[in-house]
Amino acid sequence: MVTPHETWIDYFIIGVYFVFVLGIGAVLRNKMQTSEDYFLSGRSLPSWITGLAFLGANLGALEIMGMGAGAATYGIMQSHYYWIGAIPAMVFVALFMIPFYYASRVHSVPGFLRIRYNEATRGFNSVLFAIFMILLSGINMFAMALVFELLLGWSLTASILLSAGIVLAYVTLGGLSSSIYNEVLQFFLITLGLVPLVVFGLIDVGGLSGLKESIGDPQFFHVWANTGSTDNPFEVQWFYIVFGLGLVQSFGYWCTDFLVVQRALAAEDLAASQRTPLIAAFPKLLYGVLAIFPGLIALSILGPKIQTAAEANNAVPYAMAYYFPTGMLGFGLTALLAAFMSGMAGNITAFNTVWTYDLYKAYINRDASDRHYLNVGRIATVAGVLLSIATAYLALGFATIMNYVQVLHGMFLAPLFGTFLLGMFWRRTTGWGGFTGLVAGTGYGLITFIVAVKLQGFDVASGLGASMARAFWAWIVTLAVTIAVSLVTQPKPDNELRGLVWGLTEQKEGVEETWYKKPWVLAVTVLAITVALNIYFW
Amino acid sequence: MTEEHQTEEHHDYLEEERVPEHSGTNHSMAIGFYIAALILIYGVTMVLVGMLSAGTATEGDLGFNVNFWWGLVLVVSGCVILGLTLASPRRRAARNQQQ
Repeated sequence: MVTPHETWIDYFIIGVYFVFVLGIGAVLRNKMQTSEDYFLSGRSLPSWITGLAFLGANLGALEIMGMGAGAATYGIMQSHYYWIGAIPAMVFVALFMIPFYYASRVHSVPGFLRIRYNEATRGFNSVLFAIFMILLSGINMFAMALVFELLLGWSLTASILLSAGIVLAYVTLGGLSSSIYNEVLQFFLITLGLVPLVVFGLIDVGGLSGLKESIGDPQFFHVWANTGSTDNPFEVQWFYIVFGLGLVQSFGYWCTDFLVVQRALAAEDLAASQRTPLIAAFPKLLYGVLAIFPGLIALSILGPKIQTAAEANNAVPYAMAYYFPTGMLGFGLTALLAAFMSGMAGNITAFNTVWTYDLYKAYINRDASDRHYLNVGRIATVAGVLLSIATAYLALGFATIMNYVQVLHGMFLAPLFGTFLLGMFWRRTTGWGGFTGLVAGTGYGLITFIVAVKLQGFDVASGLGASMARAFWAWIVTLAVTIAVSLVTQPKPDNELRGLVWGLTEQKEGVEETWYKKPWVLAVTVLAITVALNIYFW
Repeated sequence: MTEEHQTEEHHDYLEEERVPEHSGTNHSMAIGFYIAALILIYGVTMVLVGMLSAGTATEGDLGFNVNFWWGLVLVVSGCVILGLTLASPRRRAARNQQQ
């Protein structure tokens, strides 16, 4: 196995990163005057910043370790999680969802559910979302601990505690504003850390053809060619890739994961807000290569040594230790740590927002001062970090990072996407229709997962193909139950739905004069490149 | 929860959480400087490491001084980010307003 030779220079580089991260939190603390500043950065940011932060919030442990692990296990098919599984949804969010969110000025997705549906829907979703965020934050801690364990020889517990302490310090000090700073920063760090890995790796193995030759499995280099049957690395047909992953899982994630949506809402105006996901979509395309190829390169240099899922999880750090000398290695590690830190901080911040506004303020203490809610938010941060430590150990039970996250996405986000879709585009949807649909869909996901674990075993039940199919059917269940219940319950009067439902909303156009900043220009360009990439790697 | 209560809350909610468009804090400049500074520090450190030691051998030795050359890429990237931040139209607008 690869042995790293890290020295004090690597520790110095990692140390400088932490000094910066904690420093910016301390500096920003004085600027956080209102809870609006704390949570939405005062809605003052230009779209290039919110765009990169939008992507930065999405680039957690899943993207870096999980995608690399997936590529080492499934080959280039893993890029479906980018090209079909992200870009179309990001375009949809920009064109249709953001104007709604922005105009209704809600702090969170549960907030939106409350005015469109009812209190019960919001309460149910808030509780689920808070749990979801803690589970995701734990996987980031776990990934970080894996890197330390492998490359620095630290124990799992020590590195989990260290990362918990640092995230706690900087979220408490600076809030979302420092999260946005660090998300943009980590976008640059991760890009500058992964590009050399891919470039050096490809030089070493002799380009794409050399890579194909050294891996020796032609199926590993096709994204669509073998999906007519289940005889492909994912063991799933194109139908579930397109509709399970491309439609339900991906739209569910990008439309309703408040962690990313919040970044677009921090933009300075509606036009900038709408542009945010589109600007993020361009680097996201690139990550289909940057996050996938390190896994393939690791597979080619380590070959049959990558046999277990645990080794696949470590594909990217292995490849770094293999190609990067001391100094460069410190930089590469910093990039990985930055991704986990900001992923975790993003989860904790979202947890904090939902807890403060949608649970505490809604159900526990309704009329307190702004200062009081700010303090409640800070306490929630501490609690969130402590709970994440517990879920980090829970994540140990799962074989790979990718499977863990996809199981969660299928269960939490797919039903929610059904509820949103109907709520926004069908004015007949009723409050109780939305609630029962959401509960039924989530229940379906949870129960079928448990049943599958009992009948087929844990590994099959948590496989990527199984998650795609489960997400698709959970979504169908949500739609069916919501429609059925809506038809027999009393709809809301039209005047209560103004600004919430397509057709009852006077669309305030984001004014954008510059042609290359117009949403549809950006949308068409990014979709065209996506199609081209899918054909090239067909 | 009764229908009546819901409607009342509905109004509360809209009034309470509708907030002013801007709070007046400008973060965009600060983010540019923050990122440029860190990347420049890393770039310079790696160039120095590359010049002072030929670099410890790695298993995947590529036959060139990785630290020196990628450090140089970082220095250039840092300068570009710094340049774009300094030249940003927003900064000019802010400066014009001040004068």
